[in-house]
Amino acid sequence: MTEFIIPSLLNLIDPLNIVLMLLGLTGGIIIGALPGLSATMGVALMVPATFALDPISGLIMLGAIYAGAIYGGANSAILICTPGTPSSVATTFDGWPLTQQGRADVGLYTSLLSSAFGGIVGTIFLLCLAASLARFALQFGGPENFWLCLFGLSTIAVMTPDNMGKGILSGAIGLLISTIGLDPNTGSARFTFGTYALIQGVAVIPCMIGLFSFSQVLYLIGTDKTYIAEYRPQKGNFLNVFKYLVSKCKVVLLRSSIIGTGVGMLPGAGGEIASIISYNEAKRWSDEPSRYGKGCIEGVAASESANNAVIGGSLIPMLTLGIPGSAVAAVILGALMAHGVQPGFKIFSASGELAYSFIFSQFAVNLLMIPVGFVLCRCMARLLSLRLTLVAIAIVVLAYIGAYAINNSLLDIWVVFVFGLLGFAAGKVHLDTGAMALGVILGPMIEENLGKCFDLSRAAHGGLLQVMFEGGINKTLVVALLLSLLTPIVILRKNRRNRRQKEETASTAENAPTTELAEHLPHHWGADVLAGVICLAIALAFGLQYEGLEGVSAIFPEVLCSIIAAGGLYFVVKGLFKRGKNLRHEKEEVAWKNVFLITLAGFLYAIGIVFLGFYSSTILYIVLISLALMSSKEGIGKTSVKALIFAAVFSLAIWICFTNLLNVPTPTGFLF
Amino acid sequence: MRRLTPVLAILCALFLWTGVASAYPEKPVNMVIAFTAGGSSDVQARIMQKYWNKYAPQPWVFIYKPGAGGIIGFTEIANARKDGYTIGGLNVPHIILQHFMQNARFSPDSFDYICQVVNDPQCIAVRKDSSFTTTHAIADFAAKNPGKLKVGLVGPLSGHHIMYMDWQRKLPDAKLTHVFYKGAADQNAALLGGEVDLIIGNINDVMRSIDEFRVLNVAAEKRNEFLPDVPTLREDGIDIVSDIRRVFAAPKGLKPEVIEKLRAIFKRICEDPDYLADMKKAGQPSEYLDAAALKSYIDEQSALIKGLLEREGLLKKK
Repeated sequence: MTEFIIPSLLNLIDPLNIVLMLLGLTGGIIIGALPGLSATMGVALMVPATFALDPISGLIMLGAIYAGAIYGGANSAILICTPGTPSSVATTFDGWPLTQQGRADVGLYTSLLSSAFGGIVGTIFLLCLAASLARFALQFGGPENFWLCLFGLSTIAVMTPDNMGKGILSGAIGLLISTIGLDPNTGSARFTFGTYALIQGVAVIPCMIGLFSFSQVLYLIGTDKTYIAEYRPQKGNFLNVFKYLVSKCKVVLLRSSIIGTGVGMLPGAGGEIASIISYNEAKRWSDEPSRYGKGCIEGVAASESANNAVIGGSLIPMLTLGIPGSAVAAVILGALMAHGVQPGFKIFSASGELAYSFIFSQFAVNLLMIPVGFVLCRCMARLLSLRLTLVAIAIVVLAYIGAYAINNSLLDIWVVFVFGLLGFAAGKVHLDTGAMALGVILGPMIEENLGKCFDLSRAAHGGLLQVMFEGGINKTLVVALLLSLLTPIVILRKNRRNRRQKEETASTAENAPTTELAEHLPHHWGADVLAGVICLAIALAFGLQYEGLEGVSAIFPEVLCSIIAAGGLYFVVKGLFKRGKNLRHEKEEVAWKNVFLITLAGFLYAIGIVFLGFYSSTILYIVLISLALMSSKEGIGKTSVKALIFAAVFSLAIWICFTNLLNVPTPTGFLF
Repeated sequence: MRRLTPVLAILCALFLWTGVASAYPEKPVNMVIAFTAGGSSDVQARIMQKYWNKYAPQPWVFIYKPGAGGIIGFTEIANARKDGYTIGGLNVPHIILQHFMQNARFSPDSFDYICQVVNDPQCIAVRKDSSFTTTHAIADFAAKNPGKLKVGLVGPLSGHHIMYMDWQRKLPDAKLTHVFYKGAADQNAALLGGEVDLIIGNINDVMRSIDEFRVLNVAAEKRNEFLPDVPTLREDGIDIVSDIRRVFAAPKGLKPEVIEKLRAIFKRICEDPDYLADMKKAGQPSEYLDAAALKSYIDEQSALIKGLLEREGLLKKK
């Protein structure tokens, strides 16, 4: 190894490589921040470009894009509650409340520093322990991954300790949605609602764009505010955040980074699970779990350090065994093989200079990320000073084109629209979109690994039980799962204790950045009834399509349907029962007219894209919706001129970015 | 109406004349790839593109339509305009299985085939430290301990699944327990981690972890240039030939001169020594087959696969 260190380090100070790292980071952060453009896509798009470079420079650039994109996803998660990549779902839980409190800068700096920290920890593991860790990762087979996914799913219980019923139902709905399409165990088509295109299933990213971005647009428009949130950046906050992370978050950061590396190593699980598990653990071990979900720095730090630590982790089995630990690592593996580099333990000797240059470049990339990210995140925070309607309109356009770009599928535009409405409705009746997204992400993995367990059980004496519980890893995971399920009780107890203490020491000042512990008010009875009705409707819609299913592919959705139906019934009854009593409940004002207008416009826009083409319908959409939402002070003429200018500039920007830079085709119809 | 006939005739003649006179292709050709960018199919097509540009005046525009194991993209090709400006890559046996089993809205007869470019044979691989050194040893052990050995397949309804069914038919005593994996990466990991005892994998995929594997046999007619020391199954007395083929095709009903032009260009690409060298570097086992030979191969496979599916009771009467 030693003979490679100096040439590898020399490679890093090669000006070309430094430029490539900076470009890769900048491009990666922007791609990551745009909902719909994921890390996988960013890296895949740049693979052909690496063929013009030598393998080392090519690999360094891909690594920089990877790191940048995973970090970049946090920016949109924090600023507009829309995870830019699936890895940042957990970042929204605390990042968005921070923005709502006018402290977006705190969230952005936390995510930046934590990402860099996580990335470095992951790379240290990659550098020092790659060989032994790769062997350990291989111990994770079907049963182990099944339990791990369930453990990830148990986060729902920790996420929503005082709203657990609806949390579980939301998770079940997400899981059920993930069963649409070709089933992983028999390969037959199911739950296609008579639509041929649905045979491809509901893709995770369009679904999340819908659940988070589009529904967020409806929510924001419904609040009838002028801006998304107040933004009060304070000088010196970067240093304050740094100090806070160093003094208070050491354990959280380290634990999350280790979890991230570990999960990253596993071939089946990636950043989306790592960040959620880390968030879960941070909350579980916290002294004041009630701060989580209300703008807690530790929450952002846990999620963001974990998903960047995944990078180093996912490269471990990729380099040593040729088995990618994540979808992005798979693309990088393809690029590596296309350059004629053979992965394997030998890579550290046979292609040592390449391997070590790549690993060292990851350290450099994570350090460079801090200045690059600092500049970019301050630019992105400007978003908050734009008018809300402008941002909302832009998000819809980006959500549609981003979703389309993933698979060039018009269906995905409808997925965004439908799940946007579902997400909005769910939010209004206190179903949990985070839990739903978790279900959609984990569903295919749970079902696939359950299928493997059934397959494996045919060769085992003790049948399924033996397969599921054999070996130390399985037992550990089962115990962890059980403990995780008990956590809500612990959290509720801690909350009660803290509230008591707080009442006792009400006069003493608190210096930690906490928010008021909002007293939990019961939901409106109508919300419960509606939530129940939504659940029953979904269970019915799926339940009518069981015909012809067998084995795991029938059991899994059947169980989910039953849970959802039973839960739905419970909430209908509970709601009706509550109606009788006159309880105090939460109130929310919604500008229904605007919500209706933007929904209608979104619907017409989606149809327009199919028939007219993307750019023409985008311009039409922007002009019409601007007129519809205009403030009464300005005249029609002035608004339409403004809208036309906005539409033209925005379409041009998309044309340059998507069609020219990223080479993503846009849908065409009769026009353009 | 009568007066219109000569006008129509002239129009038709004009149309035919322009059709013949203007050499195809006179605008960029859409290339539909039914898998994600950066995947194995994409890498292969990108290599072809390099040489297409050498022999044809118009470039390719890549359109990725992944989803449902290729069904979405294959349907796109089958339903494209029959003008020769949309062609794409297909995989065999995928299109046959999807037609029989997955309600796909196309059949192997929905395409005008251009040629076959890749023949990636299945092979039987075990871990390097495994006690099995021949496929016979596996079959013998499985006959004595039915169901004890676990074989990893990518599937269901894949080339691996078909080969496994063929195994069951030809070696009925050698009972294995099959486990399906989502992709080659998971399957390789499972073999390395010891979750399964052997895998049926493709050359292109087992080469990724070749340092850790021992490939026992290749299910091909002749030995493969990537693994020249590995005997075929037939050499060892097991009559199984199974593979995955990448082919290019257009929707059925192209004008003869257009499809013939396409076939001629592809033939020249496939005979280019630089192309063959690039393919080898990328780990793609190339094998050219012209359209006629390919069509008869697909028909033959359709019959074979139908028989296997019926035997397994998987093919439901519609």
